[in-house]
Amino acid sequence: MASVKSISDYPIIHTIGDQALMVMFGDGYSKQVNSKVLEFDRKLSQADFCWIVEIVPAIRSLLVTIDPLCIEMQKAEHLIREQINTQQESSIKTATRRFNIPVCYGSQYSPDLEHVSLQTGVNKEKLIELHCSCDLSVACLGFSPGLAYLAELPEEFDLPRKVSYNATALPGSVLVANRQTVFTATAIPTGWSIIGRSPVIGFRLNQSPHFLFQPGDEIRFYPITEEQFQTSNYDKIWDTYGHY
Amino acid sequence: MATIEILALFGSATIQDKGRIGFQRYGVPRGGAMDLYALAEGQALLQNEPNSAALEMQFGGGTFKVHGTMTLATSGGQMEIYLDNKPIPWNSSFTVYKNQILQIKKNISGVYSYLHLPGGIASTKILESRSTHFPSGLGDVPKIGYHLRSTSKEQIRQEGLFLPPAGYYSSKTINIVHGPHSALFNKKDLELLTQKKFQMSSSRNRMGAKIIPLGWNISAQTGKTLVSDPIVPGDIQVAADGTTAILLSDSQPTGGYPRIASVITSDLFKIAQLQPGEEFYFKLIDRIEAQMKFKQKTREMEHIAKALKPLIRDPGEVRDLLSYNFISGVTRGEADDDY
Repeated sequence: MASVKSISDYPIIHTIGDQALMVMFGDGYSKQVNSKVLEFDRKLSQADFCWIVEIVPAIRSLLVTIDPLCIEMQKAEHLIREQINTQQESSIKTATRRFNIPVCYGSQYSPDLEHVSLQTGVNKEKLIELHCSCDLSVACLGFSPGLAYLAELPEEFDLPRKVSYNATALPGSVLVANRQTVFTATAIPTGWSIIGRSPVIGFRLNQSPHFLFQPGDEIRFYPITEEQFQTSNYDKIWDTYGHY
Repeated sequence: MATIEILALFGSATIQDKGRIGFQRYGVPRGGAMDLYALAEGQALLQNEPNSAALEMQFGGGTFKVHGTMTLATSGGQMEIYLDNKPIPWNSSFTVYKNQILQIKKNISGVYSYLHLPGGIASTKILESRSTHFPSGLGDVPKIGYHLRSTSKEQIRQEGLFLPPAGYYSSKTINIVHGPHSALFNKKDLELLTQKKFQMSSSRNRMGAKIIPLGWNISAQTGKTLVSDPIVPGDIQVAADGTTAILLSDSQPTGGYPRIASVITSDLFKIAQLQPGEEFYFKLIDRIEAQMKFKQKTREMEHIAKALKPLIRDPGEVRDLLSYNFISGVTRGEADDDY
């Protein structure tokens, strides 16, 4: 069994498979750990090493896929360690991109809102107010195209996942569990509670840019009515920031 | 332009090239052919570019109608293949003509089989790849009535080329390396992982393949639901109930279950082609050896074209002459108004 690691043991570099390294910045989610992941993502991307094939930032870790025909794994690890050692706290500042995202918490779009209300003992109106009360940061995109993991919700939302895994969340669904919100962009099976749906879908097939969000972005939700959901056009949200 | 129309599909089929690089950070699976070696074989048979796309078929094949004249090739898991009801050899290039019916059926070896068009299949390219990913609507979905088209104006290529079957089917040994989560598992489980036999199950798709440890169970790592970490294809994941699966091409880019080890990249072809019920052992190697094996395999793939052989052989030594007799179709000089 692995011993419990303290924060000072991180970051830890692991080999994963035979052509990737994984850098772990902490044990679980915290804003601080996730910020370190995203800072290192920016730093490595800017270093522009020709042997890096792909960088994938996650919640507390970051994957660096290397080209084994260009570099030995040991050498790659050494160079990544060098980059970590020269990383200064908040050395690379980029402006945070902020989005206001409309969500309909109404009947047909929120099959589990009632259930969440019963579980938490908080009434539906208050739950919606709480869900719209905080700036959530995109900790990472994962699981399916454009799906954003958003943290961190007020403690009222510290819910377990549901036991059954059979529900389908349609694109734009807003899910909650474990003080996190997941914002889907494709249909996925889920064990999280579906509390609302947005007319804004963070992934589009036929037009560039294809993805609305990137890790590190901030999102604040605001409630809209079913009528607004069905009749209003929110496409201009895609023009908020430049193309990437 | 000539096309190949899908009349029937007996298993599942997708269009695959080498997959998408650089989009896992947006949650997009890498995708790409399950057996990249077989993809390269077909490309060599038709002199296609390394990233050209082919039709990938799992467990079944299909029936196809030819519209026009075109040279095709097959590779990967061996299937019975008939052109107008005459058997033709697998792993070879052959020219088809207007209104001919191509039947690919009855799997003989392996799991994933490929049908190649000259220049590769010209399907919708999105996020720099033609690879089909059903759940997120990426790429074309080959179904009944779909026409496979070639990207190339040169639709006639050298026919009658053949590649001897590759040696990685029904592999008994799969090489693995330890990974970031290996230390979370019991020492005993890590030992048994390389001492006990595993069996390939029939629960498998492009996302992953469930494998069965024979005579033991990997201890479920309950209470260790991890925060999602990035996944690489080949990761051997142990779910909360002990279910063990090897994650493959279409695996999601991140996941929360611990992974006991990873199959090395150059052995992913072996895993792709293992049939349900086949048994194998894992062998632990270090990352230096794994990287060496990858380089070796890459060189091998670059030189596949050198192994190409003409199909006409000395009839005296060919007992299976019937199945090599497809050359007779070559001289059909029918006018081809579709081309």
